[in-house]
Amino acid sequence: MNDEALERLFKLYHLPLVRYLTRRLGDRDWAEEVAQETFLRALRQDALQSERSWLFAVATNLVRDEARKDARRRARLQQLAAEVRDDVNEAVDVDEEQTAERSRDRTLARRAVDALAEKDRLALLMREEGLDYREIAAALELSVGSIGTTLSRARRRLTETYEAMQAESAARMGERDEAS
Amino acid sequence: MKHPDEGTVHAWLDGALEDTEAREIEAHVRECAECAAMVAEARGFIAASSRIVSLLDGVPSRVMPPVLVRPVVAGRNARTWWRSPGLAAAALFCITTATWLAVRPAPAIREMPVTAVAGAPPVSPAAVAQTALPLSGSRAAAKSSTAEPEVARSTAAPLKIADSKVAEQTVVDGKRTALSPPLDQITELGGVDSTANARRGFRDRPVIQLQAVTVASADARAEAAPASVSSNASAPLALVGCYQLAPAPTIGGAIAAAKTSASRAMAGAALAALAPSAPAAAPTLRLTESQGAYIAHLYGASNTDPARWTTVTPSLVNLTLSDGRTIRVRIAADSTEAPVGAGRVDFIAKRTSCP
Repeated sequence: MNDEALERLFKLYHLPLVRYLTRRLGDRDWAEEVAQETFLRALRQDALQSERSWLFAVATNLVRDEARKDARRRARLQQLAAEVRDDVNEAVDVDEEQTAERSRDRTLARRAVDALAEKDRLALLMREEGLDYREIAAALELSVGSIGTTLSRARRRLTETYEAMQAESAARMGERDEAS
Repeated sequence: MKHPDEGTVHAWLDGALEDTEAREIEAHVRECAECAAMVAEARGFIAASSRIVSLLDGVPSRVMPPVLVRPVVAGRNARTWWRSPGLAAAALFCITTATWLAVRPAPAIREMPVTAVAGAPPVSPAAVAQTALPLSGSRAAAKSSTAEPEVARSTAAPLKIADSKVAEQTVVDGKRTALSPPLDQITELGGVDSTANARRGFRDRPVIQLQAVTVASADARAEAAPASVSSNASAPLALVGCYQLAPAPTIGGAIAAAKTSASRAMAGAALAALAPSAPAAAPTLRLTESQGAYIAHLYGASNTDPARWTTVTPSLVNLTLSDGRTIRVRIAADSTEAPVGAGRVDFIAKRTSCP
């Protein structure tokens, strides 16, 4: 692949790929790094049949490989620990309350997405970036016919899990308010 | 038509069905209340899941420790590498030159002054270690040089190009930097040339020396020093700043005390050598960062012989003086940290405000 082709690919898909990876990983810098490596690998290809699905598949595999490393897991645990700490921080004024609320929502969203099965999560995140069923199937090596079922399951579970977590969090905060 | 399953409804709402099937489902839903309810529910799940997923976008940068973020790519500047054709050309030049030098007879190569620019093609830390000159050789070279440092940018070491692991080596004034601390202490750094110092206007300042060393890949870093680096995610970057040099304090134990006593004596001598006109004044060490490389600058030393050179690691700076002596400076993580481990440490560099 020559530089022009890479530049075109980059302009088209860099933003959605980074967003997909950011949602997948929870860290923009890491997402950028993985995206860069993905485009580097694309540069080594003569031609890509299905560019978008190829990019998302390679990025997904890179993340999967990286996730196997213990160091990553430790860092992730540190991040989760920080989020938990954020969770218990009590807001003092309105701004802080809003910030805390957004932080709580984000934390719950992250937990709910992480609670999905890997295949469901990836299919959903790819769909959110506009990949069609054929592209998702190619990237995840699934049959096109199974994507509808995968997405419906992912959406249902994500929504139900998130709402359950929200209700639980609200109940906890109510108890805390009563105690104070 | 039989009732469509939930997956088919989602595929229909996502526009993934063929026209014929889509029309059939549309007609069925119009007449089947049960399926209409399922479609309404599916629409709700689609909207809700999109909203939940979008909440993930408000994530901070630098969540991952810098050291752990990098394994995927082969260098800090890889992010914009294609926007820097000059960098790519420099890398290609270094590869070509290094390859050419590698096939030359070894004795001739070992006499070559060397530099490798930041962002140059990666070499393994082991390869760097293999190319390090004996200290005595460096000292001899140091004594023979009295001119301002000139970086031999047009030459390159017979570096062995390895895989994507990153390592850089720099030599100032024709002297190669030595990895005097063991490689397992090297967790961050890159090479910089003295021309960069000149560009920053440092040439007019009291003393500048420095340089160098290598960068291993994040993988190598993580394997090399997981305890010291991973436990403090921002450690490498946190080193940037100014440090007051103070003689290393004593540590407990008879053997250690004996060692430290000698160390203190050497530290005093080294301090005097650094600033013979005002031996009581402790020099200041300043660590800056440029394109992923640390640069060390030494201020407040009246002995400004440019033949001096240093080797830097994140935690240790070796200052080789013009008379051949070497002092070792440990960068303290905080103002209370004492030297630990084996090996002589002459000074503890404690953080201070930059002048």
